[in-house]
Amino acid sequence: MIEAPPELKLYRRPMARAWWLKNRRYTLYMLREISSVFIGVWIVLFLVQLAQLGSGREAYQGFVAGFLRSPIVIILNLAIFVFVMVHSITWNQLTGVIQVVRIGDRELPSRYVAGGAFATWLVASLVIAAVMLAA
Amino acid sequence: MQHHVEESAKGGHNELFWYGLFAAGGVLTAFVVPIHVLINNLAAPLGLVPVETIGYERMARLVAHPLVKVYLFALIALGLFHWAHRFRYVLIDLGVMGARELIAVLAYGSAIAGTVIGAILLLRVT
Repeated sequence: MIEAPPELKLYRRPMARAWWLKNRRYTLYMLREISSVFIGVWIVLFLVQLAQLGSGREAYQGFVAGFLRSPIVIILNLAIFVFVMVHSITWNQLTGVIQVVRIGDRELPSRYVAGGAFATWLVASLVIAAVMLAA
Repeated sequence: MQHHVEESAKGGHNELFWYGLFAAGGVLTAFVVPIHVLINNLAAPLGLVPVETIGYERMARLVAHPLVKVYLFALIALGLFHWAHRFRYVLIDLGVMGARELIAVLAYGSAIAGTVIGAILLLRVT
């Protein structure tokens, strides 16, 4: 019986921290991955909003007027919006590449699958907007 | 050797579980988060739509609805697990190699904590 050495030494090729700035594709890849951080930040902001909502009218109104409407938070939310759009666009595009849809024995071309994802995004957005804006 | 193989197989199984949550969160957030940010965090606070859109009465009434609670819970939970999984790999991409296990525990742990907090906060609005 062959015993495995107690600790395998792995060789790791040295890699510059800023490798993702070396070319455009790498940078876009990193922006896409970083979008998840902004989704996380938005959820945290929303949890705070829910906490205020549960604490009553005065607390909630203070949060909207004092926090959500302050210029610095608006700027943060603009950044959040840009990154969640990056997430939605890249995710829906990749859905076309990853998700195989078969009709009979034929494969639906990836651009149609991506198109379906983008259409779903549009419909979902319209439904949420209608629910939130309805009188 | 057998031990190593078993361990990596176990890791693979866990990895699939976290990947599933990551992917589900990726799909749901891709479809719904931009419109939430646009209305809730930009248009209403800026007054581009009436600020009452996110006013106390409306929001309390909306969140009090059981279906809205279920929807928001799914969004919070899956969104957080999406973040946790992707962020873990961002750190590895950026060369943080040392504390892989600790990072995984912290990332998924935060997502679990956020999910529990989300459930409590949603149930508090009646």
